[in-house]
Amino acid sequence: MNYSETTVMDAFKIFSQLAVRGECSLIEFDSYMIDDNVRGLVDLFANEVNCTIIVTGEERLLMLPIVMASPFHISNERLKKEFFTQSTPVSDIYLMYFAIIIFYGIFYDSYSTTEPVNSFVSMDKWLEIMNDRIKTLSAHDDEVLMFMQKDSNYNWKMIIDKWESMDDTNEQTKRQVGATKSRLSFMNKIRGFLLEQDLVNSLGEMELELTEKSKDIVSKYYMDSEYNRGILELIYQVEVETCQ
Amino acid sequence: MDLSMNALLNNYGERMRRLALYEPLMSLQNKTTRDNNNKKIDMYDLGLLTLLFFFENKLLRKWEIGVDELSNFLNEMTHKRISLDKQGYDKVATEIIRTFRPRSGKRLTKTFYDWENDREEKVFFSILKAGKSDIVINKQYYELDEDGLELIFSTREYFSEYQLSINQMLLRKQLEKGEFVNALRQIDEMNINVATLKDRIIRIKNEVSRNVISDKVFKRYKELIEDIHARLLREGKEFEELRGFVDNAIKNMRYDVINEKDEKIYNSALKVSKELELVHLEHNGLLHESIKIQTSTLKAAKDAFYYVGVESFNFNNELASKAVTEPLNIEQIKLLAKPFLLLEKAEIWSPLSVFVPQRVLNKNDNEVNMDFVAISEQEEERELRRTNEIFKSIMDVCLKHLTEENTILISDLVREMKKSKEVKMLESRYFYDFWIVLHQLCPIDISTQDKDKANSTLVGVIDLVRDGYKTMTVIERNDIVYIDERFSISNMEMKLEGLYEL
Repeated sequence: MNYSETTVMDAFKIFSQLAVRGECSLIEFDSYMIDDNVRGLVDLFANEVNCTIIVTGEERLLMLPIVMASPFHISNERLKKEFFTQSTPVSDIYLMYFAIIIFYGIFYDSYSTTEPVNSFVSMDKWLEIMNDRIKTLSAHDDEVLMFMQKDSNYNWKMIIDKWESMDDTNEQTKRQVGATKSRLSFMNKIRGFLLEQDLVNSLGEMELELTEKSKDIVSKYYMDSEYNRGILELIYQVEVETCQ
Repeated sequence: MDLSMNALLNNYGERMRRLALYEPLMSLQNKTTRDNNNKKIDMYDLGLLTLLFFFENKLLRKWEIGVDELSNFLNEMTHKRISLDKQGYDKVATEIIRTFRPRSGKRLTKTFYDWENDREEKVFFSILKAGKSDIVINKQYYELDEDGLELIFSTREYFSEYQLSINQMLLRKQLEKGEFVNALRQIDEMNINVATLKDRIIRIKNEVSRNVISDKVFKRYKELIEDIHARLLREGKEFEELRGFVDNAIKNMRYDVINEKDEKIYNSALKVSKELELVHLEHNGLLHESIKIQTSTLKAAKDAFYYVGVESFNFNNELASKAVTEPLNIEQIKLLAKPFLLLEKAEIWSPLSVFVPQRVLNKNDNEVNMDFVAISEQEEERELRRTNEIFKSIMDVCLKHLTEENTILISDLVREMKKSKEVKMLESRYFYDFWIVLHQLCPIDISTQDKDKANSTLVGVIDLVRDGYKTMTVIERNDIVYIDERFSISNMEMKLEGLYEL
């Protein structure tokens, strides 16, 4: 396909914005929406670096890495430095990922609609459901867990151990934030992370709602087994099995 | 005597003839022309220059060379050493030309006795011959004759540069005489010349892209390549002429083939034509190559400037010192540094990474954190306080054992300490660190030390001596104090100067 020079330059301008900031304003760069060629090119560019482009409802374009190998994906080391402390073990990150899945699961808990069923979730609820899920997971024998672990490349065992090694709250401290080791403080850390990533909005006292960005990503990618690799099924299937 | 007279005298006449070629030059030597300063002009010298001049012009296929041109050339060449005006040079030029080509119209001759054939022999030779003439402006042009060429060639193993041109010339001569068999040999030589030239061009090509690091060198190569190109063009033209000549000759001969001898000649002529064509083809390839060099290689060389620039870039000189020595403001420094920075790149956490395959860690695999353990500020502070306390107690001991002159030697101190239970202090590193730190920092002006300089390890120490002393110095001695198996330290003397010295 032959593109005109203006098309290529428009697409490049948008892509370079995305490459530098990770997002760009659609009001400023409207050619993405107007010109199919520009849109196609930008998507191609992004694809070339293992990223995908998301148009959010808020007139913004987002570039998201699809795989860890993308040059734009933040490394685990960097993630630790930015959001935790340097000495944070990687298991914290894995636990956080698990918690995030659970968090979204609370919102999207329906077969009849792809819209979220909850408008917000409180920290208590989240903590409670986390406890439930981990409990059902840990009901498995170690052997089964190890098999699942190998099969899905997911550190189930580590996540369970990590969670179970923490108390719900640290009764010694008054504020459940910061570096204290408790489930609640850990959840708080994740809350901070999600806020910073613009995935949730904080509503009043310890209540969270999803941002448009979250909704777009979840509806577009989380439900797609190409991206979720059956992790969701694993978590929720387990529940079905144990209930029976 | 059983010398072989025959072998000895072989080609006697030929040799004599060669020597005779030098005679006109010799006769020039005997001329006593003087310049305006009454200095004798070396006509022998000018004679050779003249020959070279004609030779060069022949190679360059310039035929309009007369007295005027020669005198201009001599003027340009020799005006530094010979003081003559234009008329003078004209006169000299005329004289030289006349010597090489006598005005009488008689050819140069040499008479000698040929011992080989046992008879008187007379050889004729001609160095310059009349070329074109321009009757309108009444000018006669000259060019080198065959013997003149031979004379030139005998003076030197000729330039390799012109080998090809010379071979072409010789070939032409041979073709003119119909010596097709010899011509084949000449073509072989030309083949070798072309191959050599090819090597040279390839070498230059590589050299250019490797060596061009300055504009000057670049220009030199550019000239060189242009020269080669011009030469190739010239030679190419000559080749075409030669081929035309051979073709004509063959065409003419085709109808004259009568006997076996004619046929043989005809065949070798055909062969010459074929070989010549091959050489010409090869040569044409060189021409293309030189055009390619002119465009691509020189361009590549220009590009190379840039990379050489990058390689010789000295960060410290070009950036750091520039920013520091003439203090630039932040904006300017940003501008200065910009070309050397990487492109900014977003680091994005993707919500999809919650599903990304993880490296499955076994229970037994303890997580290895490759980072250094970060020291928190609190820990650092605690460590500082601790060090301070220890240093303070060491200073305490020092003060206790101070001599009357307010000095103390490590060796004395250690001896005293070993007698008491203070000996324990010698077992830890702190004692030695204490001395090394003090030695590093001394002389310490106690009064100027800030009281609440909390980050120093010496706060406690200074506090101890603040009231009684002004300065503290620690001077290293030459000997070494051996404390135990683990520690030894250079002997040092601490000296405290009192606040109220008399």
